[in-house]
Amino acid sequence: MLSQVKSTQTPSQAAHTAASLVDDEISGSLSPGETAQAVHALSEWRESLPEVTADVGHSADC
Amino acid sequence: MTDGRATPSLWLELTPNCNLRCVFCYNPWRDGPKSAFPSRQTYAALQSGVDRLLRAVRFRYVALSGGEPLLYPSLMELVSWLSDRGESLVLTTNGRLLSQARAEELRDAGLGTVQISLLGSNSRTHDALAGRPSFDQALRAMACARSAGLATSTTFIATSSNIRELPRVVKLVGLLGQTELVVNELHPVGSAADEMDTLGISTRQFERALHAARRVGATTDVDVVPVRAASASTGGPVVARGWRRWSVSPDGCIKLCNHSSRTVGSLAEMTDDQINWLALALDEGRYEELSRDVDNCLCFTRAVQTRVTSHACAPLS
Repeated sequence: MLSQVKSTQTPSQAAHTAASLVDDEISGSLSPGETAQAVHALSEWRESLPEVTADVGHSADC
Repeated sequence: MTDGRATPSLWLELTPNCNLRCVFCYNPWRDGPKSAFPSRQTYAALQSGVDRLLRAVRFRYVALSGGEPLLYPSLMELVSWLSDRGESLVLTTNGRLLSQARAEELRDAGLGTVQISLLGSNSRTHDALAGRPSFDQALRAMACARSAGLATSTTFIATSSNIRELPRVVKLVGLLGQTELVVNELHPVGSAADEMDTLGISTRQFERALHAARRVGATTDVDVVPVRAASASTGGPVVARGWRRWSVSPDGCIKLCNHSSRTVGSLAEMTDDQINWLALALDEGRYEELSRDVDNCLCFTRAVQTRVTSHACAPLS
């Protein structure tokens, strides 16, 4: 299921990898090596994201 | 703004149309025939009305909402216009139509933040609550928004069918670089009012799930923000916040909460003096005078009862 895992991920690939890692039916069938590879790929993807400066935390008001 | 009173936000409901059918949607027109949808004002009318509002009231941010705001044809033009005026902008979307290219286009137009709904940790749960397949698109939208350099926030509506997945949702959004998950208690408004027996959860269930979610959030750098609502009607504790949300409906009427089915009046028909009077009344906390013009808003009800004027409320986004 994680055949799309690559060291450089597109947003769609990152979404697929993240979903696979938390889906019990899928993550339960992954080997420790596959899991580590997916986690590493996502970590690298997150580190490549641009910083944001906009104000968040707006949601919990009324 | 009076000392101690929070700056309000402005929620623009750009269109009644939506490409999902969430079982708990608060929009009162959702289940009616299309002929029952509110009429839509033109972009020129919206721009004119919002211009008058922005001259009368200082808003902390402007939220672009719906229905689904990405279905609004003049969205990009509106974002550019509001951004040029210096407004802080938030897009509240289900993400189905947010591609990488569109996220970048919105960023370039001046959008700052995207708020995306996620209703479960897998497609089975999310899609059942959303009424249509949309889980994969929501996740892709989060990733696209972050890749475009937009700030992102995720919202989760807690129900009996997804509450057990909350810790996994925290993990999921953390993997995708999100830093905030807003957990809304189900609000018995609109379609949700008919579903509370099957979808509602107890305060204890909510608190327990929240505790577990926060433990995961602490290890994944995700801030889990609870927003309480339904506990007011079930006798549970309420996190009470003051009123602070203006709204403009798709037909151009001012509402005192985006959940309200009542309106104050048509923005196009209100004079500047009437708008200024409304702004002053709200700023001074004269909520009783306006209580007949708003329903379905726990924040406003709470404000009338206690004259709470800052922090704490219970919105659903």
